[in-house]
Amino acid sequence: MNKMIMTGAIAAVLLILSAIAAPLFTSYDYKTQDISIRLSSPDTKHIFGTDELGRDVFSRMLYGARISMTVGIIAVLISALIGILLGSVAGYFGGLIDNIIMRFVDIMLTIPTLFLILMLIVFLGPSIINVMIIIGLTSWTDIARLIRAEVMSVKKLAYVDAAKLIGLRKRTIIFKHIMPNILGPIFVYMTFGISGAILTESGLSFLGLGVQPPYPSWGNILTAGKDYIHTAWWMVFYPGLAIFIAVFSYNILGEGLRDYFNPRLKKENK
Amino acid sequence: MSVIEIKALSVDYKLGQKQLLHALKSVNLAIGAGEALAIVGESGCGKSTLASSLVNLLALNSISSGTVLIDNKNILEMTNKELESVRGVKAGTIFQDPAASLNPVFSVKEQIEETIMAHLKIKDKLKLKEMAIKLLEETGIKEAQRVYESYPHQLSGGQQQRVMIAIALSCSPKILIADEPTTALDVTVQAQIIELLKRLKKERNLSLILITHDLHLALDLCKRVIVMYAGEIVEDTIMQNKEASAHPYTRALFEIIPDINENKREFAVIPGEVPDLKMVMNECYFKNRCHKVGEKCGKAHPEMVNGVRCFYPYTKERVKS
Amino acid sequence: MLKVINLKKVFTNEKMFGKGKTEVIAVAGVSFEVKDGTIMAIVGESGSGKTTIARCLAGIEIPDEGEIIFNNEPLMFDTKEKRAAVQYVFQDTFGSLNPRMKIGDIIAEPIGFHFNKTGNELRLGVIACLESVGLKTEIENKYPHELSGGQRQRVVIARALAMRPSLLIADEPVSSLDVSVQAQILSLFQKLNKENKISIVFITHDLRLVKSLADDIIVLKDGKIEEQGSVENVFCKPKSAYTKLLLSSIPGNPQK
Repeated sequence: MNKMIMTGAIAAVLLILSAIAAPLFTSYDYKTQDISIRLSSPDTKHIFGTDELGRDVFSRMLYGARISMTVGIIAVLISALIGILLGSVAGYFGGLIDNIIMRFVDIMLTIPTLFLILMLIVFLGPSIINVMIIIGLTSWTDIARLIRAEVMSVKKLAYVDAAKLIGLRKRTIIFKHIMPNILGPIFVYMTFGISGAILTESGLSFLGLGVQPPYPSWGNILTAGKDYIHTAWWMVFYPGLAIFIAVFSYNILGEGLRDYFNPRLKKENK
Repeated sequence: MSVIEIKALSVDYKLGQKQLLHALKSVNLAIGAGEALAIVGESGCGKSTLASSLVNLLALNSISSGTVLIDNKNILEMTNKELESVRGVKAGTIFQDPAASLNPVFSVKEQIEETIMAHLKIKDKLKLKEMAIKLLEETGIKEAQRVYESYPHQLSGGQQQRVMIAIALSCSPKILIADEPTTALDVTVQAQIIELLKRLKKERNLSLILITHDLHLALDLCKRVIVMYAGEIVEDTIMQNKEASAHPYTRALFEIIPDINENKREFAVIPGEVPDLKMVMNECYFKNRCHKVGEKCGKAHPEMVNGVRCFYPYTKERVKS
Repeated sequence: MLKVINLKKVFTNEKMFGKGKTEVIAVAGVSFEVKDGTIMAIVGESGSGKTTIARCLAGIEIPDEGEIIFNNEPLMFDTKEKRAAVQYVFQDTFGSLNPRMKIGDIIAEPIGFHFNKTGNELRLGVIACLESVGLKTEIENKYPHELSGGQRQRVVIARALAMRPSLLIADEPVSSLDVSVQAQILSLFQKLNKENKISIVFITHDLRLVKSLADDIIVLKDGKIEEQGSVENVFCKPKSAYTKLLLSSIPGNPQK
């Protein structure tokens, strides 16, 4: 396995583990306020310092990781589910069904995504669940088109004809023969999607429309920190660094996966 | 005086970390002016590697040794700049799939004239057009003006190949290397292209090197045939038919190509498979599949003697008796 | 055993809003018969329609007009038995094998589906199938890209044979293979025809193979039959100018 995949995978796994095992790494929880030590710089007790309400930034980062990553992963799963379903149906059946689905995709694409997200959040109210669902509902168009193209090209391949010659049912053909061969791009999309979702969530939180207090997310820690950049740099630095590392490692993982799935198929050709 | 002289050419391809694929093993070959020769062999025999080394287009993971002399200069030691004066000028090449070798976004006009401008440094537009149309007509294209202005995808396979030949000959090279030029074409078009090559060879006194897997095609065009197997030349003779061949592999190749004049019969087969090119053996590489295998074949590696690499070759006297 | 009557197939490329369709008449009314236990060669150049006819016979393509009668019934694949009876050998060995499946699984799929075998019985069936085309059993754990061209072609044939067809349609099965491998595969086809009594429709552009392999021949040009008959007759006394042109184009043919 190539180095990119390894690096990205290790970093991503570490992030997820630290999020899941948050209570193991810190004795503080994300809510406890202690105004007396507000905005104190990093020391042995609070290794990332404290925020404006005296909460331990490190703990908030770890619990925030849970939230940021969950939002990222769930949002991507939702968009992947919608996109793969619509894309496969459009690609496999073609004709009118394909036309209808693709025109729907075109309409979705004409609306600026961020604008749509903001509108929906304002309408439905900001909350962790809403954020996840809304990001998921608005970012499936890329994967839908990608899957459609993949299904269309795989459908023409001779081994799909060969499956028809055996007499297998359409359902078997789609799931046993077509799906596994388009998994590659799906994995790649998902890793890029996670980092995109994390960034979007951070952006929403920055605007005050994402995860609401007292729940921490990297975005809202950053938001709170923007007023104290000169006095409490740790409130901006650490979440920023975390977002950077998360996005970077998922992207690297995605690129590594993309290279892994593509040239291998080409190298196999004699 | 040989136009091309290849001495002890060996080419290995690096596979991964440690393994080497021995594609060509110490090949010796001399080709004279105006000579037509065919290099015949199956996949893995090294004929494509040999063709690539003639114009030094070997893959990046290759290691070569030996010399390839064209007009007494070693191609393998030339810089890219020096090679520019060889490729297209001394030796023109045509490849198997003309659709893949012609750039789809440039018209025929641009592709022929680009070659002429680059090598012959002619810039006058009228002269370029004149030369281009003349070349297209020479290769038997009937509507030269129309083809001149067309794009590759608007032409038939046969026309595309003729355009390739025109480009290859545009700078009047003395050598023409044709690597499986007809494999991708229909049978009737194939026959036309072969006739064209015959005519061009004669008119321009070219040294023609035809690389093919089709023995009959080779004999149609050339008298001298070189048979390759497992990275070596196993036979280098002037032959017209099966009886003139000496190496058991050549004979076997003749046997397995169905003869159109015989009636329905069992298909003859060469048993076994091509040997692993990663291994260097001190025996004959054809030993395991040879119908004439004898004692000496497993004990030493045969050298080329009288144009055959075999311990027990066929001879014309034997056939007669 | 097989009767084709006035087969027609047209391919249309529709433009987005229906303005202007380009029609390609792939097959323009073709009729012929294949007798039980014989090998029929369909010969033509590119664009002649031979692959389209092959695909119609195998049911991968549906003809627009005409009838195909197989064993005295209109050709249909509504039951497992009927589907198994007519099988197809692809030209593209690499594309017709699912790159993510092991060879053993590729062969097991049709056997399991048609004969309801499982477990050890299934595996024995796979081994028998591989051996019948001259492949060693070690191959069952390999993936298509690990095999040579000749081995892949044998796998494609084995998969078709696994369903015990009585009619095999082979579309240029040896065109991309080396001569020595070609000979082995052609020899295999001869064996299947003689010993297993399988009728074969063999599509090719190489007339040299036809003479030694087939009983009857059809020469196609632009979707129509130029000439048909027994191989002996057509080769010795060709009637159509196109057939004569094809025969004279064969490299090394002294008939030139």
